[in-house]
Amino acid sequence: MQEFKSVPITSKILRSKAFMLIVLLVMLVIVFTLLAPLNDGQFFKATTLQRILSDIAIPACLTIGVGLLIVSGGIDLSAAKVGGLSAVVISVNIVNWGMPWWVGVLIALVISSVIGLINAVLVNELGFMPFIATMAMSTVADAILRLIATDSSGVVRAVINFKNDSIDAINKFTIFGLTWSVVLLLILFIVYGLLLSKSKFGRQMYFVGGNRLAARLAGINSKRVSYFLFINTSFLAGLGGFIYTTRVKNGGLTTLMNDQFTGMTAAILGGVSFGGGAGGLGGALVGLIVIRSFNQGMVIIGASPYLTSVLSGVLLLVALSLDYFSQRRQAKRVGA
Amino acid sequence: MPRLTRFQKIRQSRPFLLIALTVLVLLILLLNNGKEVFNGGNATQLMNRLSYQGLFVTAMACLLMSGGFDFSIASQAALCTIFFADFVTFYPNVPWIVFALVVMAMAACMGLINAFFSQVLNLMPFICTIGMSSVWLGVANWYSRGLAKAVNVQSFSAVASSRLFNSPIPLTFVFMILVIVLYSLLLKYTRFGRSVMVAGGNPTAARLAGLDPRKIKTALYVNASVIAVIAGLIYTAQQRSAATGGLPQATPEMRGLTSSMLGGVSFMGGAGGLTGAFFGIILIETLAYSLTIMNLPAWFVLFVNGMLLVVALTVDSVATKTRMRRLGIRSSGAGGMVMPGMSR
Amino acid sequence: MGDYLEFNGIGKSFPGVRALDDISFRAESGKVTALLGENGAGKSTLLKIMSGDYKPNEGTLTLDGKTLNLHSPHDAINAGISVIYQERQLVPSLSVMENIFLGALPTKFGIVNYPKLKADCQAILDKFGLPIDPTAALVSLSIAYQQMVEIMKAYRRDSLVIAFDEPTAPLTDREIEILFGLIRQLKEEGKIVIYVSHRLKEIFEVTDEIIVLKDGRYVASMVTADTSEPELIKAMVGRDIGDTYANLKRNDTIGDILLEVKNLTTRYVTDVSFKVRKGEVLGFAGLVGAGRTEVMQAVFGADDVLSGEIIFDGEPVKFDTPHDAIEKGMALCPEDRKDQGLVLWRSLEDNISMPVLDKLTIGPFINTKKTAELTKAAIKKFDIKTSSLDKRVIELSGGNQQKVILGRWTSDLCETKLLILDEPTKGIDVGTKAEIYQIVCDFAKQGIGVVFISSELTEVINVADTIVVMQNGRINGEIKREDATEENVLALAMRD
Repeated sequence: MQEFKSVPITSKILRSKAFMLIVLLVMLVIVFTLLAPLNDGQFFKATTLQRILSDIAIPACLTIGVGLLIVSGGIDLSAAKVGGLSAVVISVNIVNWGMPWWVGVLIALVISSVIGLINAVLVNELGFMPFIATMAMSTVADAILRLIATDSSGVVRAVINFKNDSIDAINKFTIFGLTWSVVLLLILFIVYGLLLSKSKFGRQMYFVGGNRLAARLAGINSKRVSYFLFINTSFLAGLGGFIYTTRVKNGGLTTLMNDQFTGMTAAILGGVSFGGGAGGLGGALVGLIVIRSFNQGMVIIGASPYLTSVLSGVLLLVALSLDYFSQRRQAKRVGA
Repeated sequence: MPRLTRFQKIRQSRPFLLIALTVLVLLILLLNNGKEVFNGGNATQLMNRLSYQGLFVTAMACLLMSGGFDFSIASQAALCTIFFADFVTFYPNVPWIVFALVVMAMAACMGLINAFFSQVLNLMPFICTIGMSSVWLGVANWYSRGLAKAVNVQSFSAVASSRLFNSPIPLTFVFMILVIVLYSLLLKYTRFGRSVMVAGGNPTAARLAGLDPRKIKTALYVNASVIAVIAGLIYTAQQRSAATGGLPQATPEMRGLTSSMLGGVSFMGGAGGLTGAFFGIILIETLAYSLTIMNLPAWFVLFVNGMLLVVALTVDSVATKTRMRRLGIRSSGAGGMVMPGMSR
Repeated sequence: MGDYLEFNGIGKSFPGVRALDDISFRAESGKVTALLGENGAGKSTLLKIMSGDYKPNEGTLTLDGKTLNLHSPHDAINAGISVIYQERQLVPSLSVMENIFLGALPTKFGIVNYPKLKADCQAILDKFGLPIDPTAALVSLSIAYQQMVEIMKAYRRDSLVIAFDEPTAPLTDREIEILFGLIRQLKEEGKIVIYVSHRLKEIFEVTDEIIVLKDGRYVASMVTADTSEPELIKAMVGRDIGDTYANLKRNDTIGDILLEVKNLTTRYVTDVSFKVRKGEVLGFAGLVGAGRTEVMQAVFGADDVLSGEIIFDGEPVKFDTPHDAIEKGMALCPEDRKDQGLVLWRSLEDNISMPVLDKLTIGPFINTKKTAELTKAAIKKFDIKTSSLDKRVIELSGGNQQKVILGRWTSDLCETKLLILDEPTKGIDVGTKAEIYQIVCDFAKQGIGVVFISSELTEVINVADTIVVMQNGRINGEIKREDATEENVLALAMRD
């Protein structure tokens, strides 16, 4: 039998996007460590790492969902709004509706999934372009959010704070000294990472994203893949909203809006290609850590919090441009 | 081949349908709230809103016709008006019109940046302008620390408060109508205006005919940004202050998109006209306003807007499919060699 | 009079293929010159060189004594050459007059002079007697009239050369008459008209001279009035086939009926009936656009069946998606490898395991060892040249890409009973072609029914056991291999 040489693992690592990002991360850490004293702060300490890690679970939910969707050639711009809606549903339930907290969580997850289902129907049955269909659903989700946030006197409340002992307990819950959200983050990344890279279904996502027509002619049910991913994205966004409420104990009109692009940017930075069919979740996780360290670093060196919004936009554009250049380089290399 | 009579043509046109729907909305409002809803105040307020929304629609519709899209025009307008507010406060002796021109030039540069990403790097206009919108809004918040900046210049506020011959019609509304008429004429009667439709409708045909679609689109990105800032200035004059919250929350991009598509401007470019888009925004604003007057809650207005966009999209996608069939084009599946992130 | 377009030793190569070789001929003004040849004879490449899409590797194009140096389609138009493709370069939402005057609207100080535009346009339309309203929107016209508008646009540009690529394909008989009237008028105006068509009847009706091409070479130039159909067909066919086909080890035990299609009608084809037996290679011949691909797409569940019956392996079937067809044992290697067959940016392994992923799993996960074995088996079986299993297929050559698709359907895990091959040798070098023919025969030996669609006459009549000939979405006839010659198949494919 013919023998095949495979690419050595070391050069594979060196060439991957994740490696580039880790180099970038190290550089960021050095820069912020040097700059932090200017603002009487210190970047390189345990609390910084803890903060970055424990906050990351929320955008991670968005990153996983949106990342998988982009792999299959789709996009979801409503995810952050859906997460916000979920947080508001959970908060309002505790404050006004008086059902047990977990019923609120269930309702929130169901509502989120239904929005995902509608996204999938708009894209697959009515043939809308995914970004514009999900944009429209984002407006609808915003409307529902405001409806739920309206109190009995007809005033829309910007932030709904609550107090709930069970949720406090969840927040303080740790496993082997790690905050539960960090553990959940790891589990999510491992489960979805395996799903994408090792399972049959993950492979189908790549096929649908790489060439939908070829996938169909090879007997792959691309509609099923698309439906699953849209619902999954919204479901994970709802879960992100839940984690948010456990940490912040409120939900409001602008919840998660700072993370509007975080999922998309992290995934694309990490090598998930915008046209679909390439990239993995490992890179997306590193991309997310880079974005968060950057944000945290900016806070420590005392930059304006509004700068975060500027940077999230700039990062998105940088990620897209890098993706464009890397695609062009690859296309040139294979002579296409 | 059968030629339609003029009357048939009008009856079948989109503007006619949109006007009919607007009248229907007003009729419902009248039946629900009685005659007093049509007192001067309400009508003026509606026209005030239309005067800046109408300009945004003009900007958006022209861009859509050429096959482009810009999601950041409201953020650009917010940022530019905040700068404007500071300029006029710091230099009270310089006439405000000078600064208006300065911020219009700034907006033109912002339009160029959008054109760079979408035309040079071939990124999808929708996604990259969403990114830019976050950048401009962030800069605006950063600069203003999230606070509103008052504009206390009498001559500037007069722009918004002037009325046409003591009637309840604001001058800004008249201005908006003039701009729309002007752009309709430009689109219809100038060589450049016609080339916009060619660039959007069939870029290959445009190139073969010696036109450069990239240049045309770049010009329209700049144009959209400049008109958006003029709309922003009108809004600022009405509010007597500039803030990051106001304009972007009125979601002029989404409304511009919805009304353009309701009016027959296709998302795929190269179709429709300003008249349709104009009556589209009149319908949307009248509807929104009526819902508010009828004391329906804000969420409902928002919900209706989202659903309207879905309806507009459906109408557009059906129209596109019909057109494809008429042209004898078979829709082919997704190509294998899609260059990711690239525009069509 | 006396203008001419001259081709001097035009040659064009693509990687691995010599598309045109030393083409020299002259098309004169006031005459309609036909370009005739089988599929792949080089007509389209020649048109693309005229329209400035391709640059020739050798030779020159001379118009009216001047050598043309065309870098882009825009250059060609400026030089006075308009090529009218089936894909029309018009703007749907604009009016007829604006489309005719695209890029050259009459203006005064940048303002469009509509009255003049309308008058000028009306003058052109009247000249050719076309009953089109200049102010009507283009989309409101029928496809035939849209094509007229495209021709009027070329006329308006004062193009000296007007070339037509299969202009009659979408038209009805009456519309064709109008088109021919138009072409005759252009001829009388002293234009150089070049006409590419597969329909012999039309060529005799409208052209004055015929240039016959074969395999990218110039064969003959004939005066239409002095030639006949058999003579033309004889000039088009006949090529040195060597022993490629003589050495084929064919299957001689043909079994029971595997697939029977009765009166199949879809949007694209009408009343199509045929049978495939186990171990039989059924060839589908016909010219490009005859509807062969469309028939098989419908059988495979990729297109809607409007009426008719499909009986597969003894039971009547109706597939809604390709997935259903694959489950029953059908397999399709599509016409366009890159667009419909492969996920180019994924690995060899991924592309081969695509339809059998279900059978390669342990729980939800993919069994990498089994997948690698499957891939290695396919590589060995078809001798695919690759350095590793995870090489992306975009980096493989066309022939190896085709083998990847064949390997996908013929692994041990895939119980393929019917294999549909749509143009499996398109763009592939001669050596690999011979390999693929043998592979096809090997499939037949295993009792697989093979449908072999090909636009290359020589290959279809030499590889297939029975040849079905199609034209215009209908079956014109069936010929056994023993009786088939290139002449009689081509005559059947170009019957009207």
